[in-house]
Amino acid sequence: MQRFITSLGIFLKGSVNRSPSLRARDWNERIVAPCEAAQLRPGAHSTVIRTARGQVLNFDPSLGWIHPWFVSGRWGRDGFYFRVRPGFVNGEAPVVTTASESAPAVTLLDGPDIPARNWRAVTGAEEPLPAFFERLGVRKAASDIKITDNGVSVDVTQREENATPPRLLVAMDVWLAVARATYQSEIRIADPTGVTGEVVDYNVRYDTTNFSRVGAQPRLQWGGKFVPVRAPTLEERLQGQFQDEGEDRVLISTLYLLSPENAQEHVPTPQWQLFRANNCFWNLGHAARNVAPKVNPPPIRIFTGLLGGVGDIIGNQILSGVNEYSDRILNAVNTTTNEGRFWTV
Amino acid sequence: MIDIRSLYVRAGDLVIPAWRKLVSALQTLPVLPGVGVLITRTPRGSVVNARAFLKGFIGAWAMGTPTAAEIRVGEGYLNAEMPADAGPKAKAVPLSEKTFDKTGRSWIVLEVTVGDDGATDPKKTRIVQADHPYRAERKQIGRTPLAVLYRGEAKKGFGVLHRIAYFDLQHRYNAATGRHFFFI
Repeated sequence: MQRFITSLGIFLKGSVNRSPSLRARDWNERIVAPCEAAQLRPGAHSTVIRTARGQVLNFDPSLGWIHPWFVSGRWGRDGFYFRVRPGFVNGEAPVVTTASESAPAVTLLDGPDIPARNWRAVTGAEEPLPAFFERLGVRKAASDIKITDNGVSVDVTQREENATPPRLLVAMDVWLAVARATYQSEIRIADPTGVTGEVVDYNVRYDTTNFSRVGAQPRLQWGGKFVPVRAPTLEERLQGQFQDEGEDRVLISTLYLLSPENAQEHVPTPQWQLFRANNCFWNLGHAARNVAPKVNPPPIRIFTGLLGGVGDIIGNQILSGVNEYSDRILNAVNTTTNEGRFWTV
Repeated sequence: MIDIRSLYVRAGDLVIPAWRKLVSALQTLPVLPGVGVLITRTPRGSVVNARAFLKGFIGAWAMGTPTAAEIRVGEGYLNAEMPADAGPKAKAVPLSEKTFDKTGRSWIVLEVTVGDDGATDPKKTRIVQADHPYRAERKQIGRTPLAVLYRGEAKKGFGVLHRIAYFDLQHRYNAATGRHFFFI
């Protein structure tokens, strides 16, 4: 190809110099048509990524085998749609609500086309720009960091300003959510003065609100950025401050759309090219940390500091009680979280 | 990216502007190797080699869509032992069109039974059709889905089979909670 380009350049230069009145027919048939024919076009099980520096030829490795949760996409009349090959959590395929929140959910087994939404611009500012896309021509946003080169101020992220026209990148995450019961802990101070000695009621309540609302079936969710579930710290659990979301989530895939060169806005059009970064390749099992208790555990009532602590000096026998409370609190803290885990099956 | 088709001219058009664009367009034509692709350039042309996955992936507990009221299950191991219902010499697992839930799903499940000591009894491990992926009649019986048959709103037939398990499995039982854990 390089030799072809070189020889064509010599031919062109000679032709233009010798014959300014090059015939349109010669130009079209002898020069442009061979160039058009030199463009690769993807056939079965192959893809071609066009870049400013060449055409990257890829063969589709999924020949004969497509893993669970594989995401494919296409442009429809009114936007981009994607489809997820059914995967399973505890043997159940997720449900998805494709229209509005109030619309009935459909199972992934029906192969629904899901409208993409909430694409986010990936500029390297709020989230890292994958090096793969940098090589394809996406540039990081200006960082406001300047260096001075020979008295000229240069933005470090604009150093390839004149190399190739820029391309833009947008992304959208697809993830799974599984509802589960939660533990809500609550601390009630019954007698802050300490006169009676009853100071703290520690209530742990088993809460199935979210579980009852959305059901046990896994749900496919998408749009914007995936936010992992944060596990509460021991301190948060003890203080009863943490609000458990009542679900576990796992990232399935990140879809990227890459613009043609010289795109001005982060608004995808059918000319933008799909890339996907799958995060999940196999079916999953899921379990919450605890088995649902039949009744809520009784509150833990802690007596401390009779007469504002003076009584403690009087009764050494209280020490054994304090140790018992300590054990009970530790036990409660260990069960006041119910975050679940996903694993491959 | 320049559209090469835009470089075609009509009689009387100037060629020079198109020629300048052509030089840029030519830069985009070299073929570059993608992942798993090797391009060897020779004087007589370029040789393209690709790492192709012609056979695909099979994995454990392989099954195809049933054509009769039975299904054969490929090799698979539970706690390093192959159940009697799996493998090339095993009998086919019988299927029934009645064992479907309201949404048109039916599972092919691996069913294990634990003894009083909580250990898995390999002789009682079997593969059966069920209308729920893991619910069982007794606490000592544990089930894990290997595949699901989905026929949707159709009332007859076995529909399409989707495989769930692709790996050999292990099983443990927690007697205190009555929970069965299957993992790879």
